[in-house]
Amino acid sequence: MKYIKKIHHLPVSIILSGLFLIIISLWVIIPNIIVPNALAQNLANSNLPAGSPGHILGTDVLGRDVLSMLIAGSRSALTGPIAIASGSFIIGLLLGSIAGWYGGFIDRVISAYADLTLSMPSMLLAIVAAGIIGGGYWVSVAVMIILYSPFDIRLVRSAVIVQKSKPYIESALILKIKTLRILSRHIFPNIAMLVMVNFFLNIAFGLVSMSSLSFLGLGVGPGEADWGRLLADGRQVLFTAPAQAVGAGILIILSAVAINLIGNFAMEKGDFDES
Amino acid sequence: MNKSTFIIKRLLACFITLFTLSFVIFSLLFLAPGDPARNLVGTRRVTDELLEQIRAQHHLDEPFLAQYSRWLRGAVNFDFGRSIRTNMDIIDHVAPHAGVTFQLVGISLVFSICLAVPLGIFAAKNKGKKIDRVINIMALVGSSAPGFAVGLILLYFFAFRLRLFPMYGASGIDSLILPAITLSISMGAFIVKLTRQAMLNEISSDYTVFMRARAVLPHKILDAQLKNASSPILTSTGLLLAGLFGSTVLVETIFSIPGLGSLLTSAVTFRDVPVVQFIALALAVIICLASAFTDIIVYLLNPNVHQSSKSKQGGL
Amino acid sequence: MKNINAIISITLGLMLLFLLTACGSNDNISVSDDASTTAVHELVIGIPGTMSTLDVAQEAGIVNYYIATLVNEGLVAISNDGRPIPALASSWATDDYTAWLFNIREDARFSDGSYVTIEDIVWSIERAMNPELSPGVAIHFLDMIRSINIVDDNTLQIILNDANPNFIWAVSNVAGLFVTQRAWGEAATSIGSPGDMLFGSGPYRVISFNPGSNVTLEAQDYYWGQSADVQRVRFDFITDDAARFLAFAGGSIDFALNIPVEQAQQWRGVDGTTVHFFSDRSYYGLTIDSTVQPFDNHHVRKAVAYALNAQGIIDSILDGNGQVATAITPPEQFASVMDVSTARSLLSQVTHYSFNMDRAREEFALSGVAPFEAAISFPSNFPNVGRASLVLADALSELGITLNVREMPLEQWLGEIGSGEYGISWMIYFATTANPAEIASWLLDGTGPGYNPANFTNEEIAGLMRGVLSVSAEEGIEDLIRAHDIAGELAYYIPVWWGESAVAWSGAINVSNFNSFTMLSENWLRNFRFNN
Repeated sequence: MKYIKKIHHLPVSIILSGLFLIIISLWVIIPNIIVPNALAQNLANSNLPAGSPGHILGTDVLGRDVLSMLIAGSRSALTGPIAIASGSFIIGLLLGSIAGWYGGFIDRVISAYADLTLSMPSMLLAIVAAGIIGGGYWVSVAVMIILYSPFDIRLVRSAVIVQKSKPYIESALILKIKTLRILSRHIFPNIAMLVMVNFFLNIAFGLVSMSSLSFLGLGVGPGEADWGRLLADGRQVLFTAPAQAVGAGILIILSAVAINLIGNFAMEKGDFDES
Repeated sequence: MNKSTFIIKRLLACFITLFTLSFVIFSLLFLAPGDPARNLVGTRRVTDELLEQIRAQHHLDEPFLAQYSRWLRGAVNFDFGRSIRTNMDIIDHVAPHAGVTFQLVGISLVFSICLAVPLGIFAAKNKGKKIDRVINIMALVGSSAPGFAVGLILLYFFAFRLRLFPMYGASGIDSLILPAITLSISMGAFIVKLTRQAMLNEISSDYTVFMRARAVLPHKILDAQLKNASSPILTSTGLLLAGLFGSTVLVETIFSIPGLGSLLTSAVTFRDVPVVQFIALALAVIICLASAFTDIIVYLLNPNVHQSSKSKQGGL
Repeated sequence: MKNINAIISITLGLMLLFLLTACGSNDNISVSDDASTTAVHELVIGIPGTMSTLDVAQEAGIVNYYIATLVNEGLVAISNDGRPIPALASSWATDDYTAWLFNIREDARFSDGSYVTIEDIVWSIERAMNPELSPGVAIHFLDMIRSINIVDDNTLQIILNDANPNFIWAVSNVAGLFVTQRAWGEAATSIGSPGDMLFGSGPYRVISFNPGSNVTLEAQDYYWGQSADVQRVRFDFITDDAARFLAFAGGSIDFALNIPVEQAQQWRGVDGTTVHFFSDRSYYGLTIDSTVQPFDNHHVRKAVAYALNAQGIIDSILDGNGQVATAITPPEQFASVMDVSTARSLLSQVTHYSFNMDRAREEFALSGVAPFEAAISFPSNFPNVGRASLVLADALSELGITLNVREMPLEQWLGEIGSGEYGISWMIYFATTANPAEIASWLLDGTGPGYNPANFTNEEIAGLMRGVLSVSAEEGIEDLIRAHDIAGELAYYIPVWWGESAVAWSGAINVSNFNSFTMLSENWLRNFRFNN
């Protein structure tokens, strides 16, 4: 809350990133209002070049408007990463606090799981798993959640351990306040900012990972609009009709940079000193 | 915990990882749709008799546990079987592909460490100044750009426009430079952030304040800081390797490099179980051993930092 | 930065990596020396795929065939227009299509100068017949051959279980008979690997093979036939289409296969380039499984057929490079028995349903079936089939039918063919022989489920096809067309298009008469010439 006052002192890069993300969020939330017929085919209008009347960025082979697809594509490009970050956040919070709070055997089991997952090449494993199960958007998202969660588990676990040894928790324990209450009232608020920052960074990583999987044909299904897929499909005609591939590439990079910038900024200002 | 128990525990953890991984992958492949026997025959008409014959030859007709234990028994004796696709011994089949990928990952690791560690230290020493911000932004963009997009841009400008490098294949070191740069960019960005954060932690630490107060010579302070900061960087070697081996698939696709990544993806789609198992395990062995090895070094260098450095990685 | 400990620890980490790198490095990789260093003019062909072994018996990929055709010979080869011509057999004869006599050429020599013996040929046929040793080609021989007899040093007799007028294809290179030396084959631990590259009597020999990377062939002096202008040829595997285009535009490759239709314009833009489209005798169409509800209903099948805008798909997605298919067999497949244009007009008489949404609605109403949901899958390496699926899905949605389009790897897609799980699926078939009945012998085998990918049962069609397969190609034409017609009316198959492929070559070379048989024909590099 204390940052709101400082909005005028925010760096330009943060303000620009914020504005950019607000626009993208609109695309994600109400694509049906902005571009209602993004996937409408019109074989008579296929492969129009960029700059054609009514189609600023041209059309694809099925006569679909490239600009509309880029706008509509933001939804699948971003919901997946947000789902990944949320899933990994929930697992991390749950397993991380259990491990950190109780310690002992259960801690060792959870830490072993985290170590195990971390010691595998995640992108490779995602490719193997998605390839075996047959791809599909939500399969990839599920695999990514499993592979991202160890980071959150470790983060929450170590933060809980740090907080646990602080005097106010010890006094709460002496007062026989219930565990869940201590966790939710005292520990979570103290690690919230740290976890939120990581949540943001996970979205950025998820965006890049998901678009990589889409690029390899393991993401969204054919016919759907998605930045990774649009980039992969548009790459074929990169030198004759660059609008689709270049547009999708720019949107992926800009979104990830904007999310990263804001996440990083919050981290710097948040001043975490857990150790 | 004394030295030898630490080392034994660390290696034991490696074995458990490998065993679990092999089991998970084997069961995934077993459950997966698709039939390797059918794949061998191709798009033509096929009789059930022929399919049966091929399945029996590769023991694909046995129940799951029988297949897995057959594979495990072989693996323990370093016999990983034959590729279903080419009928070649696994090692002969994989070895030519492994060479390129290891070279690629090796070069990338050298590139990213040699550039990123000094940049990270430099940024930390100049925290808040313009140069720090520039380095930070570079790292941000680097970690936000998907490898395949970077690869295409590099391919277009440096190989096609400027003709500095070959455009495909793996015929010598020069053809690996562009793919290695592509891999290094996101990895390097990661290391810059890691190094910067590790150095910042040391700069703001009590001992630094104490040494400053005692008017210890600046380079001696830097020595101490570097020594302490080196452990979180080293402990994440396993992570770095895992990341590099993971991203190599994309880079191999773009630059048409016949490496492990492309072999693995084609083996996955073909359901060539022995090949998938072998590659996944070989990579996991390397990653496991590398991180165990660095953990052990860090432990030997400074037994006290082990626990705390490990918990710090989480922030990335 | 003089801190010893920090430097030591970082160096240790790096050393570990170098160690790993050194263990893994393999000298095999850097073989291809540039043509400029030697006097030999090297032709470079860019292949959009990859190859793990040279042995067709193991990996029956089309590229494996292209290369093996240059290195090994069968008893019979094919000409540039797809007819069987002498190879290791200088002539052959049969009276009853059951007993076949082959006269073996005396002047055929392997690339080390030794003569090809009749024992080498028998050993090679037996290897090709063995499903364990040759899973890729054994299918062509299964249950076909009763005995192989050596009559004398130059005469081989093969006796079949049943009369088969098309047996000649089985002993040609297009089916998968590639003769090698028995002694060499027995000594080899893994034929087709870099350690045991192919050994044969064809016009070229393999001089290097880096799996997944490239293969280099060089003309051999002992070939009995006519040699080509090209002394050395390198096949580079470039899996990425964008990279392959850049390599071509940059002059790294002279000839490229399978240019994606959507890239054709881009390739034409490179100076001196020729982009050549030709019929590849492929069939793209829908298979409707009548054992799956509600596709057992004839009206539903007809509704789908009417809803398919084949001309629209060809004009937009294929940019005009393809023909609307009126039947499952493309007219070019009849080239060995009749004029292609005659075949085309004959096939246009076969019952088929042209795009008409009103008729589609009518048929669907007649069927009495409620709007339903179905899935169709396509292999990821055929993106145009995916786009065509989307066009069909769009049209079917007007009828109230929801068609979910799924993309999957080729291998997984293959496993679904004829599985009986899906009502509607794609068939993509590339004919390998010049036999007009090749596609129909599978798709129109109406004996019952399992015999054809549509799992239909129709005794009339089955009877016609049995007749067609027991006589020569010429004699069988009438019944073959009749079978096409009955199946067409029943709409078990909805033909969409007969495919075309594109190749491109640079100004440095000239390629003549390139067609779908070329790269499987005897010493096919004779069609390639350097311009200077």
